[in-house]
Amino acid sequence: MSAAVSITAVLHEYVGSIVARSIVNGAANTCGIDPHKLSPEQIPCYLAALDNGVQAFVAEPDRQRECSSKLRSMLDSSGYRAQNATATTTRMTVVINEEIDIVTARNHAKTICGELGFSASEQVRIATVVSELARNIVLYVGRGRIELEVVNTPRRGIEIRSIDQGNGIPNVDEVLSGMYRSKTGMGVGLLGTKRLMDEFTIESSPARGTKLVVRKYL
Amino acid sequence: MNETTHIPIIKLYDTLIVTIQVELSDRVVMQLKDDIGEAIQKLGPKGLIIDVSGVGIIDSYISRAIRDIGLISRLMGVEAVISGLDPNIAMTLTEMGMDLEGVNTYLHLEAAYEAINGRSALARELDEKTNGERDAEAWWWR
Repeated sequence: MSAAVSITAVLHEYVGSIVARSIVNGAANTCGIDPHKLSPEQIPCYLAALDNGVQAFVAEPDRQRECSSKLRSMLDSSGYRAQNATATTTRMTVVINEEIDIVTARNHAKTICGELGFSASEQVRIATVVSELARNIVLYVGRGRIELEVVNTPRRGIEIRSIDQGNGIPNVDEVLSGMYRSKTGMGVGLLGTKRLMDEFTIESSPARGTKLVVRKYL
Repeated sequence: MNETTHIPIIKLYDTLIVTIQVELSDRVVMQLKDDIGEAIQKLGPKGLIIDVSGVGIIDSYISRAIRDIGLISRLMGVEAVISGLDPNIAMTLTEMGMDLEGVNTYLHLEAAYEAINGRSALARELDEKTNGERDAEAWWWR
């Protein structure tokens, strides 16, 4: 039985069958994978995306947690990640559709940074940046995703990518020079993000949306 | 999931105390703004303390929202202060180039409460004692 079928079965205990199937497929799309042919390194991303689906469709927090942990233990026990069961998370994608996803994203960031060995104050800085980027997606685009990844070169650290297909930021240079302040405080947010991080690159165009990549090293 | 969390607003004599212990989402902040406006109008307090010692992360949006709440209550004639800012958050806000201008901040809830309600009863008591001693001294010299 493929992973997708067993996952759908677990989800079906909590939601309707159509919703269950759409969570499975939606999560697969998010990670760009085929749920019928899961490989071990795809599991963390897939689990995160499934969690988002569960959070969106399962009403009670208790049942959300129960469902998430069932999915985890199932994917674990089926041997998909037997060889790296104790390894820390190295890559994670959080889909950003609504404001509650902001909280999810920054909590994941904080956890990963804790595992990496960032100090408490660095964890707050990084979580704030993730919050900032995710909030820009919610406020200005509506949907997008935040990718968190542990990097090892040139030094160990975390890379945060914020990706959306919106209309781009028309006055990026102005925003980053500190000359511009939006009513909602976006100027401060982007500029502040740049100040808090070690590396900051932004690609933004009306046609392809915005891709922001920032890094913080240990 | 769609129901909005109300952050409790506690009345202590003439002071309203809002202590934020949950993750602030935009919806919660918006609800809080409404609730505080209503509470001020209904209870006519002397001051409002927003205690953020339970907040883990404050980004630019949240910091703006908290400041707005302070400014709203000030416009309504009620002094508003913030207490309990975590050192790591304070550092992050500073480095980002943000501050909570227009709203006074205090180390903890007690300090904020005393600031709003003038000096504490203990301070007054000590004061009276000192005045009494001064009187005695004056008598001696007379």
